[in-house]
Amino acid sequence: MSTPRPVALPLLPTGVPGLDAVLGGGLPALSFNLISGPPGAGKTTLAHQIMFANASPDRPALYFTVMGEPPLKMLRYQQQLAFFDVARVGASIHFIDLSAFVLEQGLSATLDHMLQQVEALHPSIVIVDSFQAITRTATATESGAFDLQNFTQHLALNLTILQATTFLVGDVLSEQLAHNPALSIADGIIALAQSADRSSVVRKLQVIKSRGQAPMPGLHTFRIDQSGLHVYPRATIALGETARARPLTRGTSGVAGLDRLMGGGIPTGDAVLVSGPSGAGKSVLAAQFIAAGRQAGEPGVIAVFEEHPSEYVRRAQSLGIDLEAMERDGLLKIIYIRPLDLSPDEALYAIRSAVQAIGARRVVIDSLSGFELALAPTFRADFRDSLYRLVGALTGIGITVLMTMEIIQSPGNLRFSPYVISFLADNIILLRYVEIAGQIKKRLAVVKMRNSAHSSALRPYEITAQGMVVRAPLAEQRGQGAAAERAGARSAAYPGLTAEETVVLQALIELGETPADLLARRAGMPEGPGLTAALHRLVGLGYAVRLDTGSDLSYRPVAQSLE
Amino acid sequence: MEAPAPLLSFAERLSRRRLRIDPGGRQDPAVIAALAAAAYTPLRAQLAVFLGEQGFEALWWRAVALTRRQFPDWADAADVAESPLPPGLSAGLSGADMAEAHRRLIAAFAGFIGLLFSVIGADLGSHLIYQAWSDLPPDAAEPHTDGATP
Repeated sequence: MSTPRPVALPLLPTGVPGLDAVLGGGLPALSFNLISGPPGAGKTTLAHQIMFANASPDRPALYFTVMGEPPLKMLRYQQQLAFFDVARVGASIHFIDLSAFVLEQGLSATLDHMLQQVEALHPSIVIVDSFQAITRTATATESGAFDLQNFTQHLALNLTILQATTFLVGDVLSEQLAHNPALSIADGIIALAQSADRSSVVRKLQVIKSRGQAPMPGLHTFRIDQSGLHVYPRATIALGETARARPLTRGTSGVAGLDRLMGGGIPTGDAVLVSGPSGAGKSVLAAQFIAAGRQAGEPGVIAVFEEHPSEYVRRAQSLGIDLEAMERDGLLKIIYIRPLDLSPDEALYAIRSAVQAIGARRVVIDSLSGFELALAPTFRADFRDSLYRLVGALTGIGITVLMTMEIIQSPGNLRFSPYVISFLADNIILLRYVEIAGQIKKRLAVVKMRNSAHSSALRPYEITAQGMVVRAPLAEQRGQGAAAERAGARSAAYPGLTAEETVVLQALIELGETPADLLARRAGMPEGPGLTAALHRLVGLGYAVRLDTGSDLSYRPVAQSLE
Repeated sequence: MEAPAPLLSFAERLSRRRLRIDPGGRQDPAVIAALAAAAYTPLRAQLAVFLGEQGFEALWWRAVALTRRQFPDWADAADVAESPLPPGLSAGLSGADMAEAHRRLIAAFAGFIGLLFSVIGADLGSHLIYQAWSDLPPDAAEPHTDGATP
């Protein structure tokens, strides 16, 4: 016996980018829907957009106006929107004002009049704006509640029989109207809202109800501009995406020395966080990562949140990286997003659209600090969650993501970002400055690789005319005052320690828990009072702990918070 | 807010086309009344559906008030009872000679169209006017301008 398949409802497009996806594919044909929201939320614009997307000369749309926004004004403003085609008005788009009818003749006569018009025009779409006005008119009378129930039920039934998909527009979800019969009669309820936080305004849409469909849950941000509404579905990480087997390939970071430190490059589909102070070369590395994609046949997308793309391109050009040529060849898209009232989903939409447009395999987000600043304040509180969804949605489809993060470097604090976000990065590359013999030098370390062994060495690197170049480890450098540099660098990293104590600590960190004799050998110091004093100081300052079991004495480095 | 001059001129041309008098025809007030009714009735039928009765009337009476200002001798009186003329016009047109009544009638409709343009724009406004006056005679001066707005 075969399992019966559910009957698929025919769906209508909404004409609103992103909304069909939120609705689970579109609007069920012949459904009876509510579009609710406070004044200014965009209800009328949404209704118009749906109407213009679906009306045809054979199956026109009928827009009943009822004492809400005066039709004169509504037409004046809706015409400003790109989808409003004047030539279709009176042909496939019909407006009928019912205000006087409702006031003078009541709901019953209004219903008859509406049904006559619908029968005459045979529309595919019927809109009643505002339904709230009808509700108020009805509830003003003694039998109002019954009349309204009756009116709404008859309207819903008859418009379905007359093969129309209907939208009642009004703030029907407001407190006073919470018992509106339309709420239970409606097949679908789309709620629009807008909220102000400091000086930014964020619009959100929710499909509260959708019979026969599986809409995307949650609140979805949307914008209204000259083209109408644009919905940005809330990014979710599909189970299939998170559970997918990661490919075992690696891609080059664009910096050969860094690839070696990373065990052969960046695992495909990983998220890489490049963290470092201003001027350390984060964007240089990002540009090299993208340029390397060209050689590997992996187009890239750069989402720039701080400087203007032209400046970004110019700076890459000075390193011999021709991003303009990559754009011309369809191998790169640079997106510049900094509206200050951005939603994470809007950013993801822009990035995903660019990824799809060129089949990108690499994405750079430069920088997370700029991204956070571009978000509306209301989203900043959920920045980690937003970033998790954004990164997950990209890496989930096998895209390698490189994010930069500016940090303020302090000698004793190894934080990679101002947020606890390192959990969402598979790999973390730390760039930092060290002071050596009165000079600022750059050092780099791969501090985390989730899916790979890697070097933990702190390597010198330089930003040259050819970009970032990772140098040999300090120990391998001869005749360059390496010992002094090593000591100076470490002193800067561990405040309060002498150069000798820093060498001991570094050896301890490298070895982990270890007895003093091994530590002495690793640090290149003789066992004796000097080493004992250094260890005593490390324990006293909290850099290490002394483990005395009675028979064995060892030391263990105290792990510093890395987040 | 008044429509820009090119739109007012366009509104007046539309009004003149709708209210054109046959030069060889009868020259009496009944002709003016018939012309006015032939212009007003379909206009109201078309626009009141879109704009609502209240919307149409608000526009019409504003147009009448603006037209009266153009003609200082327009009698400040209520409509003549049983007048076949559109609302608000009988006091201004009844005492005038044929040419003057015609001029005032054109001004009233041009004012209405100009107001409509200023509120909903000339594109949609003219689109609705052409739908209401589907039998609009061609523009003698500019025969190829039907459907185009300045």
